[in-house]
Parts: sequence; C-alpha cells; structure tokens
Amino acid sequence: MPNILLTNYCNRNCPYCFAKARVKLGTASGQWEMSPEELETVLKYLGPGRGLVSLLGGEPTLHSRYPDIVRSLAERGYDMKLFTNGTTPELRRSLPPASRGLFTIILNLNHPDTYTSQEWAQIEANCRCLGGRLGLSFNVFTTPVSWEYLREAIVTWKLSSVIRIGLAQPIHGTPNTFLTEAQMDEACQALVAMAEAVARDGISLGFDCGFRLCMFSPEQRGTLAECGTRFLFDCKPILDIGPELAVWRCFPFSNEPPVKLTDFGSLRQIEEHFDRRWGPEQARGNTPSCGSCHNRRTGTCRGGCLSRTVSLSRGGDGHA
Amino acid sequence: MLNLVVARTVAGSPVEIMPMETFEQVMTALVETQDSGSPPTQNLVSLREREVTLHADPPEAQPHLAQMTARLQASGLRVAVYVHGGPLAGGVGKNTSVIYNAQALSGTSTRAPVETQDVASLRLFLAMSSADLDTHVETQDFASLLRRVNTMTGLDAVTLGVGWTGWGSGPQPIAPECRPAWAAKVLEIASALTDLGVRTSFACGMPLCLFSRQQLGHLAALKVTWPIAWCTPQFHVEPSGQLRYCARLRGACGVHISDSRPFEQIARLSDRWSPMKAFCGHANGSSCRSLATRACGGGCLSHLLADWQGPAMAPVPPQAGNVTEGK
Repeated sequence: MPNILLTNYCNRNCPYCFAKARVKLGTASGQWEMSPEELETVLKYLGPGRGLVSLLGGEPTLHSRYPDIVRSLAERGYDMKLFTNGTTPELRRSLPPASRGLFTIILNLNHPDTYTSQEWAQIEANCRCLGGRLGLSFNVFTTPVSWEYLREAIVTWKLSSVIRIGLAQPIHGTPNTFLTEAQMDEACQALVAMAEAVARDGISLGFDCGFRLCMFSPEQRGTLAECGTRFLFDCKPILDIGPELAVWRCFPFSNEPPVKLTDFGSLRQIEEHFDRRWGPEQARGNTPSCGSCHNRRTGTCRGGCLSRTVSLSRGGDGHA
Repeated sequence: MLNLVVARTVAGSPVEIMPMETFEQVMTALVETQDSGSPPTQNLVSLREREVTLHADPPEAQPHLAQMTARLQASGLRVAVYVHGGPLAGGVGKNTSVIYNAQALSGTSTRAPVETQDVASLRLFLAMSSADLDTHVETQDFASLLRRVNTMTGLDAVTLGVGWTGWGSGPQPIAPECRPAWAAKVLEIASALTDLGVRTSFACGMPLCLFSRQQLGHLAALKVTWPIAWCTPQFHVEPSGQLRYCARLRGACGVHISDSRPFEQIARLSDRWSPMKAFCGHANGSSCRSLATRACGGGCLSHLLADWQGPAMAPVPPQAGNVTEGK
C-alpha cells in the first residue's frame, strides 16, 4: 500500500529522517500540501472496495484540511494508517468515528530529551487520549541503543503493545544519520535484549523493512520469535506519492528522479518500473555474501535495504 | 476470521447444506457487527486480512456457492473455499482462493476417494491455492509426507496441521516424547516447501514451545507465515446456523446466527475462556513471555479444556444462557 504525503514539511528535525531530501524540516507551515483533487486521483489508484490508506508527510496533521481529509476517508469506508510525530493537538481532535473502519496511528517517538516541554506535553496528551489506538515507532540510528522510555510510555499511557522498529538507512546525496555496518552487531544485540525486556510487559517488536536475516544468529532469531517479534526481511517498492503526484520508490530514494503517478495505469506498473530500474543493484544485496546466499534465492531475505546497497556502490560509508 | 460450513459430508449421512436463508442471516449479523464498532468487529474485519472461508464438501452440493462467494466479496471480504475434492467449475469466481485438504487428495483421508478429474479441476486453481496437511506424528509416515510435499510446486501455501482432538475426545495428539522428532520433521517439511517456493503456515492450536529456540530461529529463515502458534475465535457457522468458537469446540456455545449480536456473544465466551490459557501446561503458565506477547496462543483451547475435564478440576463450560448483553 503506497504512502500518501499530505504535506512536505515537518515541525521536527530528526537527524536520521528518511525524507530529508524532499521534506522541509523544522517548520510548521508555508510549504506544499496535497490538494483535494490530487488526493482523489491517488484514491482512484487504490482499487475497488475498501482499502487501506497510508497517510504520511512531512507531518500529515499539519495539513490545513487534515480534519476534513480524515472524516471524508472514514465516511467512504477506508481504513487509515497515520504516521505522525505526535506533537500537534490536531491528532487527538480529528478522529474518525470509532465505528468506521480501522484507524491506526504510528507515533514516531524519539528520546524525551530531544523534545521541548511543549512538544512533550502534546505527545503526552495525544497518548493519553488515544491509548491502544496508538502504536509507537522507534528508529535505530546510533549506538548504544536507548529504548527504555518506550516501555514506560506504553505502560503508562496504555498504548498498543507492538513497537515498530526501523533501521536508519543512508540516503545517497543527503547527509542523514544512519547505522553503519560496523554498528549493526551492537544494534541487533540491543534489539534482542530489548525484545526480551519488554516481553515481560507483553510488549513485542515489529520489524520494518531493511533488516537482513544474517544480522541475527538462529539463537537470536529464536529468542525474538519467543518474544513475539514480527519479522520482516524484505525491501520492495513502497511508493511514496508527493507533490504534483510525483512517486518515489521509497523515501531513501527521494533524491532520485521520481515518476508521475498519472503516467501509469496502476500502482503495480509503478512497482514493476522501480523493480526494473533497481533490479541489478538489488541483486547484489548489502554484503558480499548476499549474491550466493540461499535465503536470497528462496526469497526469505532480500539482502537488506536497497538504499544501503546503492549507497555502498556509490562510495557511501555503509561499511564504516 | 469467519468460517461458514456451506456443505458437509459425513459418512453414512445425507449431505448437510446451508440454506440461503441462513447465509442471509450471516450477512445480516456481519453487517450489524461491522457497523457497531465493538471489539468483535476488530476480530472479524482485521484478523487474517478479512478472510472468510467457505467449507464446501463437496462444492457441487451447495447450489448457491457462486452467489455466496459474490455476496461476501462485494462486502469487501476475501473469500477462500475449503474443499476435500469435487468439481469446482462455476462454483467460485476468479478472485477466490481454494484450500484443499491434501489428505483427501492423496487418498489417505477417511473420506471418499477423490476422482482424478476432481484433482484436475483443483489444479486449475493451483496458482491461488493452498493445501492442508496433517502432520500428526503417530499416524504419518514422514518420508511419504515429504514425497507428497515435492508434488506441491506451484501452490501458494501449505498449512500444516497438528491434528488436535476436540473437547473431551481423547488423549494428547502428540505424546511428549514424540515432540522433538515431530518438530525436526516439520522443520524439514517447511524447508522443503520453501525450496519449492511454497509458503508454510500452521493450523491453529500448536504451542510455540513444541519447537526449540534454535528451531524457531531456523523457521524464521523460511517462508513461514507468523504467528505460527495461535488460537483465536474462528466464528464457525454450521450449516444449521449454529455458531461456535471454532470447529473443535462442539456443542459448547449454543449461539445461533439469528440470535442478537451472535459474534459478540462468541467474543465474550472467548474473553471468559482466555484466562485458562494462562494455565497452559506447555510453557510454565502465566510466566511465559510467548504467552504474554501473543507469540503463542497457549495451545489449543479445546485441548486445554479437555485437560481440565478431570473430576477434581472440571470447569463449568460457559453456556449461551450465561451470556447476557452488557456483561
């Protein structure tokens, strides 16, 4: 399911931000917003029946018509997944009726020290209001990995018990902060320890794209499985749809030329376009052993994040 | 997850058919539940990606199969038809997946042998099909099972069942001393299926701790649908319209699809029974982290209740009469 970028600006400025190339960070107004007409065009591509609409930004709740958009999508029977930084009051003020489909909220929560007191107060108010409808997202971008505040937030505010785990990946041509290969072992050990620790409170981890199977030993994977971890060792076109209906493979590729949505007959055709465009690079994988890996051949691992592979091939410092 | 038994063959008895009138009652209850926004809605619309399974044994016995399929799909639900063989022509649309019982196809089932043309008919749907395969350790010759697996190229998925018995109907299906051997063989089957490009999923009711940590780690590297150890309400509707928690909990609910908010009644029964899972004998009870994170459903509830049927500890199973609105 593609991500619909409602805005291209965000009031936060996360060092690892995947969208840095296309999103104006640290501002709450004055940039591009998706128009109702553009949104209608995107919805036509989602296919018949009630589907899932994934709303993103920038910060989507900063869109000047955000309440109207949420209400309209709910009335038309769409399920919604919203990715937010959680620092705006609009998040809790503009909720669809509970009886209308699913409305899942993923709040990306950094360390509390990185927020102003006003921002943290908004996060707390949103979390208290939304409770189990809201899940936390955690991006690992440096080591050592500090995650204890996530458990406290989930237990205190009775949030969803699954934490989305993202690995910060390099965006070629854009100076973001990301995990280097040298940091991976430590980060993965920390994630296993985290999974074991939070499992005592019934909390589990859910991997986002870009992980490799070989980052974890069978023993570590077994531990993660026992702790309810949702595995994902995949990397495929997500399709981020933004200004003027431009479509990128995914945010880490937002420095690459996009395609235009309306030049294609379906989302599947766009995915195939990006698969063709990046196929040779994806075949290489993140590591030298990816090419001959049995798990690559069976499709259970895609060789890690394609952006990391491309960054390495262009002289990036994925292998620090 | 919703299971509708629209046609059922039991040896020596006439085929049971779900009348269209009963199906309409299912649709009414489904729409009412979805509109109510109550917790069962979440179970019905989100579990297993909104899939409804029509059990049609044999499919040609249900004259309204195509109509039923179309109605459900028009409501935005994915439909799978579960068959033990039998011609499917005209019975299902192009967007319907087919799950077939591989025991029946191989002729090892107690059901009537399947004719060659039936198999050919099923193979028309191979690309979108999956199969059920019982791995009950005391009745399976694993070598022949692996040979059969090798014929499953082109399938979308194979569901491995453990063959749990129903409530009060017998001993544990896999004796404790057989579990390590069973787990190793199942891992071998899943590995063989992965090499064939076929995804493995596990039928409900298996405790996670049947596998060692190392084995779980290897399973995570295969084409496997997670979670592998689960037990959730199946919302199982009989041809007569009787609604059950699942196919195995026979006669324990007494809710009819025409009752007021039938799915919510089942969900409440589920809430009442779920604390029993904390006494799961497999994994150190409530201290189990897999139980806490729902990585494991605590094994089969039916089997768990059967364990509790000893005279000293037998619980009174919740009955429909005990379930009242608003509780």
